[in-house]
Amino acid sequence: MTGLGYRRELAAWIDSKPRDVDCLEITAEHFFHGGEEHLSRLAAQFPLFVHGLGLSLGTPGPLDAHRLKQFARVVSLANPDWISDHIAFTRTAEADLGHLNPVPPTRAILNVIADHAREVSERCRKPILLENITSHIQLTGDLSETDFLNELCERADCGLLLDVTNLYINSRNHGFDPLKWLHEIEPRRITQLHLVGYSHIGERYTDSHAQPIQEELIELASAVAGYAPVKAIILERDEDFPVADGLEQEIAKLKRIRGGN
Amino acid sequence: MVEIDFITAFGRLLCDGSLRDAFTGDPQAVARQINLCRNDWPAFLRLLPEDLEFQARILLRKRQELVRQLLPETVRRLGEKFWPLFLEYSRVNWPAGQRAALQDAFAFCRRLKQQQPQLVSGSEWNRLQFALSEKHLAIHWLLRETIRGKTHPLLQIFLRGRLTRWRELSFHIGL
Repeated sequence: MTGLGYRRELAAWIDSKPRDVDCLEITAEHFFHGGEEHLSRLAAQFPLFVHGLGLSLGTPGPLDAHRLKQFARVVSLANPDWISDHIAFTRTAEADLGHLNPVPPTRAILNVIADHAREVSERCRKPILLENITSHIQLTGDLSETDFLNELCERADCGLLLDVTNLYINSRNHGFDPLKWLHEIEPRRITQLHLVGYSHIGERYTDSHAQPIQEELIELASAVAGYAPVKAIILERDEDFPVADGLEQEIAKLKRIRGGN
Repeated sequence: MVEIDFITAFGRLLCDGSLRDAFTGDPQAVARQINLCRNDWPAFLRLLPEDLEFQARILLRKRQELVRQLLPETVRRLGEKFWPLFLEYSRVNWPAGQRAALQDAFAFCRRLKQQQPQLVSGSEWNRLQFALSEKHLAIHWLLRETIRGKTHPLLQIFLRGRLTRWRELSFHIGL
């Protein structure tokens, strides 16, 4: 399946039922304070996946009970095949950082995230996928990143939402081969992909979710699709939304990955 | 003092520009100062100040975007000065609580008002004050308020019901 992340700015285009959009990924937090009717309408039109931004699975200690309750309510309305959140932390015991931050690949953090992922999955009664993030800091631990991800998926009994753009960005910023990285990942865990064009701040690659998908990302995504049993590819655009033609072109790129040509 | 774990320590560094400056000068002293758990020292000491600052600025850009949405007129008046002024403020101030974005916009405006009060939109300042208060009613009369590039008198009425939701009625005289 190919689809895109639902955003309010894209509502009119999505309502027109574009031919190549098979599914939508909704952001749970966008429906925490209402929008139930709208969500139910989307669920009637498209298969949905529910993606979280702020469960902060990497924060030691208990999950935020209120946030988990809100997340579970959205999941019950959307009835997705699976849910997802990030391998990251957005808050600590002291502060809400408001965005995703990397975690070190240690066994201690692996246990924290695995326990939290299982808890979310059990609470929502849905399989969960965990997503790799862009990191501008290379954190070290007692595991390599790929061993960390494989063990994490094993311990949490979950799939991997592989953000191809984040993988590419990290490989550029930290100087490693993304294909070598990919081949160290257990393929059967890779269930869903995220894609959007990368940006630059100075000499660094960044994920502003504001650019058309570049050709090198299509190539990398095609390598992933040839390596793993990917079930869904989602365009993840958050800024500088293109007009309908531009969106159709972006979705067509995703179809090209699926078709392998 | 209670020992803190790596994630808490990392979070403190990302939130606090002064602490990042201290870390750049002497990371071991900072690890001692915040009472970081001994097991987490190696990973903490391997953090690179330049990378830390970059990640911290990613977070500040996210905050800036939320504040921009709450203060469109003030941001328009600030023009290119918005980011450097916001960076100066936000690098050493971190909002707390449920309404962090509102608190952030309010604290930024309050600071700006002390330095260059003419740059703060009166109507946006009134809106923030009401949103953060528990008042049920507020009425403001602004003799000169710029809306969409034109300056006119403005009457603002804010109403709040029993719940936390509130609404604003604005009357632009002469528009």
